[in-house]
Amino acid sequence: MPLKNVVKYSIATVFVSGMLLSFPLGFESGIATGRHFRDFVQEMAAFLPLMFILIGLLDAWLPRSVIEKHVGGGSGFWGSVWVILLAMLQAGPLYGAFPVAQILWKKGAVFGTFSSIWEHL
Amino acid sequence: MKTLLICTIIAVLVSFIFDRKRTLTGILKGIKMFLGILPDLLLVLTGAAVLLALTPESVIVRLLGRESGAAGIAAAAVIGSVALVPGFIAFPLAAVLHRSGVSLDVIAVFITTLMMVGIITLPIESKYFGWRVALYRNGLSFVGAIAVGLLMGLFL
Repeated sequence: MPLKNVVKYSIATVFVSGMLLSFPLGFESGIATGRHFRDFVQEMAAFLPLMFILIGLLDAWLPRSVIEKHVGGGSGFWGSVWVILLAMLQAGPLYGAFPVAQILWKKGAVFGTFSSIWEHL
Repeated sequence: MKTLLICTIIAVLVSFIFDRKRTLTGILKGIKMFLGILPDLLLVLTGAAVLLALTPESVIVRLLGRESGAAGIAAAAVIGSVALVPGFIAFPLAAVLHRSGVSLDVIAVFITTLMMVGIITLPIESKYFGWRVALYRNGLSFVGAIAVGLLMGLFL
């Protein structure tokens, strides 16, 4: 594991330990933080692993030509319509949309057509 | 969420029937991407949790509820941009705001910035697309969210 990640995991571990310790110690702000963190992890665990499996499959199967034809350069108005419709199906947190958008981008989609539209529920 | 689970299972099964090797490569690639972003994500989530703990619901209600019009919209835009809230909390929170008398255009701005603008997730977004794109996307979404609020005010 790269050193950078070791540092990041360590910092996260320190914070989480602090949250956990807050419960027996009765430290109110720590308990509140812990509850919020639990909610976040719950949401992340519910969406992200499945999403990344789908993203991996998308990457393996979706041919570049299909993306280029429908949402690539020159797809214009209908490209935007496609992306808006597809993006409305997407649920889950904002950070879950980034990797999906990146795969589409790498396969030749035009950034402007999907960049800010994706995040609607 | 159930839909996502069903979609994933179907996708994996169909993919597996057609090409085992490709399916495995795809899934492994996905897991690798997930592990790659996980440390940053954990840090952002701890930061967001601390931030949320510092600003409980009652504070948000007070900040948005007391003011109306331009000041309310501005406050909603700023808070919504900075805060990261799980999706299943965002709409109940909006309901609480509505019941506490916050006007609908302010709530619209709040929800829209909450969904589309993420100051706290900027480090993650920039990892995927670079800082320039991330800043443009967030900036334009911010403007868009305010436009949504103003139009809501006109129509309602």
